[in-house]
Amino acid sequence: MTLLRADGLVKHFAVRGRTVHAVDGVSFDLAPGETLGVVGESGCGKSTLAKLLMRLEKPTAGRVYVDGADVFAMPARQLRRLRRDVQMVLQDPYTSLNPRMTVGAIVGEPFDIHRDVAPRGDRRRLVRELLDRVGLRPEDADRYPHQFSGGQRQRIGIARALALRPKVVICDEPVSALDMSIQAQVVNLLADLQRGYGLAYVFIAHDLTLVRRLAHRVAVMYLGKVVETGTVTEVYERPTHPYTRALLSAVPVPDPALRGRLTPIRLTGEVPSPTDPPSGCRFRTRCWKAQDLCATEEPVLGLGRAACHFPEPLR
Amino acid sequence: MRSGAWRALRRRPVFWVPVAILVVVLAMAVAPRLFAGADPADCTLDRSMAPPSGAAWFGYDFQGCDVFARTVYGTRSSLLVGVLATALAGLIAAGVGMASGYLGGWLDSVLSRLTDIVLGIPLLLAAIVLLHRATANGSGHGIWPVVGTLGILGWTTAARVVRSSVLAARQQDYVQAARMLGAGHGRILVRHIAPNAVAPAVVVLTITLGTFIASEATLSFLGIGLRAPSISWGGDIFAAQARLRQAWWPLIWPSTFLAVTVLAFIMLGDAIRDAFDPRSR
Amino acid sequence: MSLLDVTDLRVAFGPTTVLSGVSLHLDPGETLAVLGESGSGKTVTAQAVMGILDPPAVVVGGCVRYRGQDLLTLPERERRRIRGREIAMVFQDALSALNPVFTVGYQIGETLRIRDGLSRREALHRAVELMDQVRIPAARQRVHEYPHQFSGGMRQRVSIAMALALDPAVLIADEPTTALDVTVQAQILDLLGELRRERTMALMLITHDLGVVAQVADRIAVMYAGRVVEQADVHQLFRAPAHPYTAALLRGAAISGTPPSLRDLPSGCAFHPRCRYAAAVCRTVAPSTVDLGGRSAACHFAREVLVDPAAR
Repeated sequence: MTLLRADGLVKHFAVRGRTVHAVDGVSFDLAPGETLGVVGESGCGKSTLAKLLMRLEKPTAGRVYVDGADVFAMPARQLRRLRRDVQMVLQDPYTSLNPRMTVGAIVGEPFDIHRDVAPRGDRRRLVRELLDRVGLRPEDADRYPHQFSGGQRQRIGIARALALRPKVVICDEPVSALDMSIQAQVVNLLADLQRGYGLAYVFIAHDLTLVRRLAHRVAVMYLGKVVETGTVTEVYERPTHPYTRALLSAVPVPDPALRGRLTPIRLTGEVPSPTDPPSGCRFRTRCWKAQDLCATEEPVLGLGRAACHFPEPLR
Repeated sequence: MRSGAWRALRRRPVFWVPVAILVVVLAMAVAPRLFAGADPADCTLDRSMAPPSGAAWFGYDFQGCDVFARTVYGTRSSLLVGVLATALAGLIAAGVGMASGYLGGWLDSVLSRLTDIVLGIPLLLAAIVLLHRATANGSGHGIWPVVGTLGILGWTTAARVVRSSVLAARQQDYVQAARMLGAGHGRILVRHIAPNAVAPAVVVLTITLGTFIASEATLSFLGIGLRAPSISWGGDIFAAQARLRQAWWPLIWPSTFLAVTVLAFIMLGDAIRDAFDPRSR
Repeated sequence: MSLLDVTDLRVAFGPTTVLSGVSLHLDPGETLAVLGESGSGKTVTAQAVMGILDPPAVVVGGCVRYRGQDLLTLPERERRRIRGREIAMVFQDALSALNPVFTVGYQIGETLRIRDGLSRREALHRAVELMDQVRIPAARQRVHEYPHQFSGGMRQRVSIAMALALDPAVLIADEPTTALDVTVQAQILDLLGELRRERTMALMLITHDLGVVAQVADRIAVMYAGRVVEQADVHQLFRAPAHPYTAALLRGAAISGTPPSLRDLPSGCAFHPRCRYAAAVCRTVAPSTVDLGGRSAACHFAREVLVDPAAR
C-alpha cells in the first residue's frame, strides 16, 4: 500500500533567462508508518522536492499522489482535506514560528483553519495535550516563541504539524539548526511520535548519520536526481553508486582509532551549478570511474539500486 | 497580541506623556469652551496687539482677538485636518502597500512606479496648485479640500513601509507554515502578514499626522489652507508673523501648541512601535 | 613549554560572565580541537586569544601567554604585530570574511603589502603561490577573480590562504567547515591537516562536530557554559571520557534539558541539571579541575566517570 507517491517530479526555475534544474525526475513510494530518508548536498534539490510534495510549488512535470489522489489536480475542497494528511516540519525554528503569536495560538491555529476537526470548546485542551506530547508544559501555551530555546521551538513546530493528525510529515532538515545535545532529543521525539501515531516521514537531511538513525529507506540525491535508493542497510553498508560511496566516506567517523585505517574516497571539486548540469551522467565530472559513455548517455535508476553505468557489484 | 502590546505600553512613561498631551489637545478640540473663557470672535481693535496681562494671559492679536482663545479654538480644525488626512493616507497606503507586496508581479511594478511618481511631487507645490483650483471654483473652503489634498499626496512613505514589511513577512517560514496548514489568503494577510506592517505603518503615520498638521499650518500660512471664519494654528501663525517685531505673543502660542502636538504624535509613534514587538517588551 | 597557554581566562559581557576561567594550552605543531555547543564560549575564547573581542565583551581576568609572553598586557601595537604573523584566524563564514569589491588576489596580497612592504607585483605573485598551496586550481587565472565567483569550498580556501600569508605559527580555525557540504568539508579538513604538517604549524580547531574531532585532532578541550570541562588526548577521550557531558555526547544519547543561559547559570556545576551523575554536592559547589594524569576534567565524580563502563 502506498500513502505518498512521487512520480517523475520535475521542477525547473527560470532565473535571469537561464533554467535551473532543481528537481529533474524524482519518483518514490512511501508506505504508511515508513520513513524515507532523502540525503544530498546543497543544490541537490531536496528542499525543492519538499516544497513540491507540500504543493507549495507547482511541478514543471510529474505528479504527487496521496492515497491515490493526484495532489495537483485536486479541487480546493479536497486540497483542504489533503492539508490534514500531509504536514511539514521546517528547518529553522527561529523563523518558522510567528513571533507575535503565543505558543497556544500557534499550535491551535490548525484548529482555527480546520474548524470541523475539533469543537471550539475542545481546542484549548487539545493544544495542551499536544504540548505535553512533544515534551513541553501545558502552561507554555501562554508564552511567546522568543522565550524558548531552539530545541523547544522545534517541539512547538512539531506540535503544530501534528495537530491535524497527519498521516505523513515532511521533515526538511528538522534538526540541523539545533545544538548537538538537542538534536538527539528531537530525533528521539520524532521516532517516538512515529511509533505512537503510526506516522510516515519523508526525512530530508544532509547529515547522513541522522538519516541512518531514523530512516527505513534512503534516497541519495545529486543535482536534482536520485542516484541511489535502497534500505538503510543496503545504502549504508553496501553502497553501489560512486557518489554514495564518496558521500559516506566523507562523513567523519567519530572514532579516532579508525584514523588512517580507512582509505577515504575524496571527490575533487564541488557540485556543478544546477543551471548547467553536465551531459549524460551528472556526477561524471567528479567521478573517478567516468568513461566516454557517461558523457553521452544518462544512466537510469531502473530496477537496480543505482543510476550508474558502472555500479559496484551487489554483494 | 493586542493585549500584550497594551500591557507593554501601560508601563512606559514615553507612552503616557504624549497620551496626556494628546488628551488635553483632544479635549480642546472637542470642547474649547471649557478651556478658553473668552470668545475667539470677540475682537475689538481697541485691544489690537495688547500684550499679555491678567485679563488675557496670552495677550491680543492685531485684530484685537484673545490669542489664547484663538489658539484653543484653532485646535479643532488643525487636529481634524491632521487626523482625517492621515486616515485617508493610511487607507491608500494600506491598500497600495498590501496589494503591491502580497500580490507582487506586474501589479507591484505599476503600483511602485505610481508611488515613486507621487513621492516625487513636492507636497506643498502640488497642494498649492490643487487648492488654488478649489478656491478658484468659488466654493471657498473648509477642511475637506485640505484633507483630500494632503491625503492624496502624503500616503507614499507609509505605502513603501507597508510594502516592504509585507514583502519581508511574506517570505517568512511561518507564513509558509500557515499555507501548509491550508490557511487562505485572508487569514495569512490578517494573522501573519499585516501585524508586521502595522507597527512600522503606525509609526510612519503618527509622524505623518504631525507633518500634516504642520502642512495644514503651512498652507494656511500661505493663505490657501483654511480660511476665515475657520480658525487654525497655521492661519494665526501666518497672520502673526507679519507683525512679529511689534508683538511676539500672537506667534508664540499657536506655534508652541503646534510644536508640542506634533512632537506628542511622534513620541506616541515610537512608543507604539516598541510595544508592538514582543521581543522588545 | 607550550606555544600558547591560556590560564584562567575570564571574559564578561556586561554583567554576564561568558568565560568563567578557561585554561587550555597548545603545543607546537599539534592540533587541538575545542569542542562545544553554541554559547559554550568556544568562539569567545578564540576571539580573546586573537584580541578581537567584540565590545562590550572584555577580558576581566586570567592571561594568554604566547611563547611565554602575556598577550593581554601587551600594548595594542605589539598585539597587532602578533596577530597575523604569529597567530592567524579563519572564520566560519568565508563569504563575509572576504570583501566583495576586491579581487581575491588583492585581498590575499593586502596583508603582505602592508605588513611586509611587498610591492603590488610581488604581493600578487605571492598570492598565486599561496592559492597554489591551498590547492586552488588555476591559481594564476583565478587570482584576478572576485569572491562571488568562487564556490563555498574555494572561498574557504581563499580565506585560509589569507590567514597563511604571514606564515603564522598558530592557526585558529573557527568552525571552518560548518557551512560546507560534507564532501567539501572532507577536502578542507584534509587541507588543514596537510598544511599543518607542511608548515609545522599548530592548529586550534573550533568545532561542534565529534566526527571532525576524531578525524583530525591530537588533543581535545570540551567546553560547556564558559568552562573547559574536559581536556585530554583524543584517543584517551574517545576510549574513556571523564566528564558526564563528554560521555553523553560520545554515546550520541539525548541529553535532557537545554544548554543553560549564561545570564542565568545553574548553581554549583553548570551541568548538574542535565547530569546523570549529579549529587547534592554538584548543586552547591562548582567543581575544580581534577588532574587525571595527562588529562583533566572539571567534575566532582571525574574518577568515577572515567572507570564507569556505562559512560563509554
